[in-house]
Amino acid sequence: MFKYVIKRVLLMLITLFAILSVSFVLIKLLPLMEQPTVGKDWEIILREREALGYNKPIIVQYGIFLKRIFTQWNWGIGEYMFPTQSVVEVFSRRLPPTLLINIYSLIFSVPLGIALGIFAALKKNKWQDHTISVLVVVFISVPSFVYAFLIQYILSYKLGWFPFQIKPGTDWLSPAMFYTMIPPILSLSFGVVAGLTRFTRAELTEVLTSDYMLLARTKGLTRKQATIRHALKNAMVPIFPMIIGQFISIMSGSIIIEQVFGVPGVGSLLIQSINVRDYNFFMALSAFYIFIGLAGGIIIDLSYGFIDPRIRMGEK
Amino acid sequence: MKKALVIVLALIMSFGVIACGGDKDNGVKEYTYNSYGPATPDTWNVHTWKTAADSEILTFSEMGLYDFVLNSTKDGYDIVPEMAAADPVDVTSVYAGNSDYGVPANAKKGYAYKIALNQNAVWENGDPINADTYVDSMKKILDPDMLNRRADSYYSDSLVIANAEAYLKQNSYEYKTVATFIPPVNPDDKEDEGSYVYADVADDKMYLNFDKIPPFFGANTPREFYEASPMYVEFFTVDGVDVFKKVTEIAANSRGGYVKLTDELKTLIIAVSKNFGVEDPLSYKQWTFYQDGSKSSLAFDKVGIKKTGEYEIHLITTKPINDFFIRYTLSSNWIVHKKTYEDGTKVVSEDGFKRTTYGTKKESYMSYGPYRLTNFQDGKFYELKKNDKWYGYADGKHENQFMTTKIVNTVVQTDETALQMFEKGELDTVTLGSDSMEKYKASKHLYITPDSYSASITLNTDFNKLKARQTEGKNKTIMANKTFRKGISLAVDRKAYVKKINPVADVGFGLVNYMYTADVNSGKIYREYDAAKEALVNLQELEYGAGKEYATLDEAYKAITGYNPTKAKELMIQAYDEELAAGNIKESDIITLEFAVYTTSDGENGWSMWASLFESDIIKTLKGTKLENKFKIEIKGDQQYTDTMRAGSTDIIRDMWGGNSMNPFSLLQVYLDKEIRSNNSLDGDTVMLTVNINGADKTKSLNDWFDCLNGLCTNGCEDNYAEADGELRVKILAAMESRYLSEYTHIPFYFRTIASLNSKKINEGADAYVNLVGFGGIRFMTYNYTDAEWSNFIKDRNNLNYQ
Repeated sequence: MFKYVIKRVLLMLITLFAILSVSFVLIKLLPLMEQPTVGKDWEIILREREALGYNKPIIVQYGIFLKRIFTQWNWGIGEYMFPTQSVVEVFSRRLPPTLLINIYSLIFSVPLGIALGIFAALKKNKWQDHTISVLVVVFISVPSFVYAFLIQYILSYKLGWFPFQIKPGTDWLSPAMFYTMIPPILSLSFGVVAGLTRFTRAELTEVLTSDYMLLARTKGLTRKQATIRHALKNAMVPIFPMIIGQFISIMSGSIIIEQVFGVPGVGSLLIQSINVRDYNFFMALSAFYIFIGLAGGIIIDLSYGFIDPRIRMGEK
Repeated sequence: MKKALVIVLALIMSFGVIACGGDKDNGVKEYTYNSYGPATPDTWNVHTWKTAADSEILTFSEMGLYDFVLNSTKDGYDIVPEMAAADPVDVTSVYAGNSDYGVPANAKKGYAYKIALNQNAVWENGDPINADTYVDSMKKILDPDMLNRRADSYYSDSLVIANAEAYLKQNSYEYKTVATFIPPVNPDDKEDEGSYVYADVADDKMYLNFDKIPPFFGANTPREFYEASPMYVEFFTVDGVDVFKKVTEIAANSRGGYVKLTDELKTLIIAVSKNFGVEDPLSYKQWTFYQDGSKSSLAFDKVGIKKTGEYEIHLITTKPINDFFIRYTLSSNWIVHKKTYEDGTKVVSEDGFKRTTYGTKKESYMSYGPYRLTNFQDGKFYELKKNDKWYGYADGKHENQFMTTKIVNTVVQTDETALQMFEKGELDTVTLGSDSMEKYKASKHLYITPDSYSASITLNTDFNKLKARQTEGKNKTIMANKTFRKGISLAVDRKAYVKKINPVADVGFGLVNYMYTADVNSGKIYREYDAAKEALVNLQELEYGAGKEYATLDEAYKAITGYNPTKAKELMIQAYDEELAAGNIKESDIITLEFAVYTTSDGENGWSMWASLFESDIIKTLKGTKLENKFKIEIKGDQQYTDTMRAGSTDIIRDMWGGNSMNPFSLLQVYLDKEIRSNNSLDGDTVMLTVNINGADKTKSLNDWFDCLNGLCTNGCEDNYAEADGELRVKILAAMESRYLSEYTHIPFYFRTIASLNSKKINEGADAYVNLVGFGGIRFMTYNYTDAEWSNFIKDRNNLNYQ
C-alpha cells in the first residue's frame, strides 16, 4: 500500500510538472491583449515587458520561474491583476468565501441527496419514486445559474427574505454572513442533491435486489435492519468517493454563482488571469488546480480501500 | 420535527435581523450614494491606473489643480482652481531661449506657466501638500525604473513637459545600423557601386526593424517597399514564408519594434536579399541594427517642473499649450503621498525594475480630496466618507456642494441583479441594457449620457488579400469595388440597428460624433458647424438651396438617414456587372464575406447580432435581383479581430473608436495611423484631398493634412494649421472626414450613448448632459431623503416604480 501511494504521488508530481510546463508555454504564446492606442506611449508597455523579463526566450523564463519556486517558494506578484500584491496572498484572501459556500452547500445537500435516494429506492416504482425521479431529471438538466437567478428573483426581489448579495466584510463565520449566504448555498445545492439522489437510488436499488439481501431477509432480519446493516453499507462504496470528488471540486468555485451573489471568491480569478495575461496569477492558479485535481484522484482511489477493506490497491 | 423546523426558521430569521441591522439615524443627517460596478479597482495609484474601475476612487479621493464644474445656469462649465490657488500665469518670457528646456528664443506664450498652489490642501492625515510634493511626485511618475503607465500623460498629448520623456526613457538603448554604405568615389564610374563597412557586432547581437531605414534600402523602410507593390511582396516571400509578416508579427510585441536576429531569420533575410538581386552572403548585415550602449542619463532638474516657492511651481513645456488646455490637462493630478508610496516600493525584477503597492489597499493609500477611502474589500466593495481635512469644506467656495456624506460602491456583475437592487432601493443608479430600455424609456428618472465613441463597420477592400482568401464558388473581391461598398452603406437601416442594439444611441453618419467640441472657448460642437454638416450632406448626395429638394443645409442635414435601399440595389448590381465584365466574379459565385466578431455569443454588445442584422439588410436589399441568394455572411469569433483585419485576413469587423472630446482634430489619427487603425486597405499617404484655403486650392494626402492640422508638419508639409482660425480648422477636418468616408472602407452606424436611471433619493446637478461635467457629478448631487428617511420610504414599498 505504502509503495503504491509513493508511486502515485511521484506520478502525480511528474504529471503536474508536465502540465505546468505546457501551460507556461501556451500562455506565453498568446498574443498581448493590449493594443497601441491614441495618446498612449506603447513603448512604455513594451519596455515594462522587457523589464519583467518577457522578451527572454521562453525556456529561460521557465527556468527563472522554476528557480524562484524551488529556491524561494515565490509564486510572484500580480502584474496586471492586483499589481504588486503577492499571488498567494490574494488567492488565500479570496479562497474562504468560495470554500465556505461550497462546504455549506455540501453539508446541506449530501444528507438530503442520500436520504432522498434511499427513500426513492425503497419506494421503487411507486408515485414517490416517480416524483423524485422527475424532479431529479429537472434539477440535473437545468444549470445552476438558472436556479441562482430564480432564487434571487423569488427570495430576494419578490419576497425580500434575503439580501441580493452576500454581505461585505471578512467575518466569514458570523451568523449574519451565513444568513446572506443562504441563496448561493441553495443555488449550488440543487444540482448536488439531484446527482446524489439519482446515484444513491440506482446503487441501492441494485443492492436491494441482490441475493445476499434475500438471504438477510430469510435469516430473519427486518427490511429496515437489512437495508441499514447490509444494503446501505454496500451501496456507499461508490457513493462515498463521489462525495469526496464533490468536495475536491468545490475549491475551484463557481464563477456564475459568485458573480450573481457578489461572492468575492476565486471563481473568476483563473479566467481573468488568462484574459489579462497575468502570467504569475495564471501559473500559480493553474498549479493549484492541477494539484488539487491530481491529488483528488489519488484520494478517491485510496478511499475505496478505506470504505471497503476487501478492496486493495496496487497489490498483485 | 415541526419543533425542529420552527427552531431552524427562528434562527435563520434572527440571523436576518442581525444582518439587516443598518445604521440608525443618530441625529446627524447622512446621505449615502450607493453605486455599483463590475469589479473593484486593481489599483487606484494615479501613476499606474488602467481601467475605468481603477479611476473611480480617484474621482472622489483626489482633486486636480483645476476642475470643471457646472456653471451657474447649469448648461455649461466653468473652470475653477482647486488644488491651485489661482489660474495659471504664462511665464514663457522667463524661459524663452532656455536650451535646457528647449524653449525657442522667440517664444512669446504657451511654453511655461506659473501655478500658485492651494496652501490649505493637506493629506487626510494632515501632512501638508506643497511644491515639494508636486516636484517629488513628478519625479516618481517619471521614474525610469518604474515605467509608470500614466507617465505619458505628461509628454504624449497636449501637455509636453520639457524632457519628461527623455528622463523616463534615459535607460533605453540607442540603435545603430550594423552596415555603413560608402558611396562610389567617382559617381560617374559605372563599375563602382560603392561598398559597405560593417560594425564589429556578433550576429546574435543584431536586430531587425522593418519600420526603420536600413542601409540595404538606403532611403526607405522595408515596410514601405513591401506595401508599395505586390512585386515586392513576392520578393519578401521565401519558400512560401512571408518574411515581412513573420518579422513584423514578432516586432509587435518587441520594444521599439526591434526583433533579435536568429539563425532562421538570417537565412531568410539572405534569401530576400537574393530576391532583390543581392547575392552577397553578408547582405543580412545591411538590414540589421545593434544596441549602442545606453542613452545618456539625465538629471531630474532638467525636467520642466520647478519649485519656485514653498507653494508655487513652474511647468515648462516643449510644445506650446494654451490657457484652456493647460487647465484641462491639469484637471487630473499626479501627486502621491511620499512616505506611503516609498514604503510600498520594491524591486520586482533582476534588472532593478520597481513597483509600488500604493493605491492597492486602504492602508497603502492617502486621500486628499473631498472624500477619503475608509473601507476596501477587493472583489466586493469600497466605501468613502467625507474627508474632514479637505480644504473645501471650510473655504467658503464650495457652498451647497458635496452634500453626499458617504459613497458605497458594490460589485454587482449581472445587469439583472443590479436592476432588481435598484428597484428595491439598494442602489441609487443603474445602467440600462437594450432590454430594459423599452420598459423605462418614458421614465422621468432616465438620464442619457453621450460618449465620444462612434460605432461602425470596417471593410477589407484590398483586392489581392481578398482574392487570396476566396475559394471556388465563393467571391470576396467584389468588396474591392467602391460602388459595391457604397451600396452596402446605403443598404443598412441604421435606425433599426440602433433600436435593437442600443435604443438610446443616435444613428451616426460621420467619424466625429456630437461629443466633440471644436471651439473650447465658445463650447461649439464640431457637428454643429456648417462645414461639418455639409460634409455629410454632400456624402449622402442630398441637394439643398433654391429649387432643390431641401431649402436649407439644416433641412438637408436633418433629412439624412443613410438608408436608401433602391439606390443601394442599383449600386450593388452595377458593381456586380462591372466585376463580371472584368472577370473577377463568376455568375455561379456566391458573395461570401466573413464578419469577425469578438465573440459569437450575444452578450451586452450583441456582437453576432450586428453581423446578422447586417446580413439580413443586404439580403433584403438584393431580393428580386440577380444577386438574390448570392450574398452570405459567415460569422467568426475572433478575439483579435482588429489584428486580423489589419492583416487583411477577414472581410468585415465592427469598430468602435473615440478620443479626446475637446480635440476633434486629432481624432482621425485612429483611422489613419498605421499602428493603431484597424484597416490597412486605405492608405492615408496616397488618398489625396484638395481644400480651398483662403481662395487657393491646396492638395495634400490625408496624412499630410492630418499633420498640418495638428502641428506635426515634417517633410513635405509646409503649412501649419494647428494655431489657425477655428472655422478653417473645422473646414479642413470636415473635408478630411468626407474624403475618408467617400472611400467606403469604413461605414459609421451610430454614436454610442449610455442610458441610466437615478433613484428617487437623489437629484443630479443638471437635467441635461453637459460636456466635461456630465450632470454635475458628486459635487452637485442633492438628496430628497436622508438615509434614515430613505430606509423608511423603501420599507413601506415592496419595489419602487420607475416607469
